[in-house]
Amino acid sequence: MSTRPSFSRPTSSPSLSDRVRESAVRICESGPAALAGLYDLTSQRLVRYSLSLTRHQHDAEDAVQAALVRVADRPRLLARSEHPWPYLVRMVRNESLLILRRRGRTSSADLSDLVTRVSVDEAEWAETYRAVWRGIRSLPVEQGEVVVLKIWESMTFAEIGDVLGVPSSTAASRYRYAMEKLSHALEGFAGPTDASEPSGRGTEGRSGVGRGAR
Amino acid sequence: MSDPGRTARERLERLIAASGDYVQPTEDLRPQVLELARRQSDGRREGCRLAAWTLAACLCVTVGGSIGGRFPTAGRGQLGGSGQSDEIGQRDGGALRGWWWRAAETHGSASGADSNASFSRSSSGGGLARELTEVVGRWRSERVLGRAGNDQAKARVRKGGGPSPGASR
Repeated sequence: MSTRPSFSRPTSSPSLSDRVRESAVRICESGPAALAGLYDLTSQRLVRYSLSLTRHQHDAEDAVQAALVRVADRPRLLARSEHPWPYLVRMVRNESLLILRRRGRTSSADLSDLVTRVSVDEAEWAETYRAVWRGIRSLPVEQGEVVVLKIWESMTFAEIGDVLGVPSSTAASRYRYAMEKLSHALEGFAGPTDASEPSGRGTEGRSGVGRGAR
Repeated sequence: MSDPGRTARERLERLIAASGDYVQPTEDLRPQVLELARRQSDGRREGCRLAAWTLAACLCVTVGGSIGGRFPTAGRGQLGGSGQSDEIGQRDGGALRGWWWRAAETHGSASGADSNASFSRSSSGGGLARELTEVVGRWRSERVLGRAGNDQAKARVRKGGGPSPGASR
C-alpha cells in the first residue's frame, strides 16, 4: 500500500476526518463488524471519487471495497493517521490506479454503467446532473479528479496536491483547465440555485433508483 | 460591480456541487464489503491460531528432545547409578527421544537421505534447525552406542552370562 501521506496543512473538513478516525478506532476495538459505520460515512464519496479515475462503476466499487477491506485489516494505520480522510482517499486512489493498470478499460463518456438516484423534487435537474457527469468523464483523468476533490470534497489545492503527489500549483492549474472545459460543455445548463453546500445532503427521501437512467 | 467571469465560475461550481449525489454505490456493495472484511478477519485469526500451535509444538519438541537427551545422565547422577533407576530413566527418556527419533527417521526415509541432513535442508529457521539437528545427532549417536551395548549383552546371554546392569532394552 502507499506510504503514509504527510499533509503540511490542516484539512478543510476536520469533522469528516474526525468521524473517519472515530470509525477507525471503533474498528480497532470491535473488529470488522464496525466497518459498517465507516462504509456508511464514506462509501458514496469514495465511489464518486474513484469513478473520476476508473470511469466505470464496477471498477470504482472494486477499488472502494479493496480499500475498506484493507482498512478493516489494519485499522490502526487509519486511526493513527494525522489526517484520516485524505489518507483514505489516497488509499482508494491507489486501488483505483491498480485496477486501471490491471484491467486497462477504455474510458467513455457513456453513463450507462452508473447507478443514479434523483429525489422527486430534483427530478427536473436530472438532465443537468447527467450533463455534469458526462462533462467530468470527458475530462482527462488528472483534471477530473482535481475537480472532484476540490468541489465535492472541499479540499484546498495544497491538500489535493498532497493526495495526488503533485505541487499545489499543478493542482490549481489542472483545476483551471478543467473548469474552462466544463464551462463550454455545460453552457446553457441551469442548476438549482440553493446548491452551494457540496455533498452535504443526506439520501433520505430519494426515489427513482435506476441503473443507467437515460 | 461583480466580475462576470467570477460569477460564471461560481455558478458552474454550484452546478457541479449540486450533482454530487447523483451517482450512488450499488446496494450490493455494502454487504459485499462487510462479508469480505469478516471473512478476511476470520482467515487471519485461523492463521494466527495455527501459527501459535505450530510454534508451541516446535517448542515442545525442542524442549522435550533436549531434556530427553540429558535425562539418563541426570538419572544416574542423582540416584546413585542403581540399575533399576537407570533403566527407568532410560525408558522415560527413551519415550521422549523415541518420538522425536521416529519423526526424524520418517523424514529421512522419505527423502532417501540422511535424516539429519535432510531435516536441516528442509528447515528454514537457521537457529532452531541447527539446535534440532544437534539434538537428533546426539540422540542418534547415543542410540548407536545403545545398540552396540545391546549386542554385547545378547552375546553374553548366549554365552550364559546375565545382562549387565543398566543395559538398554
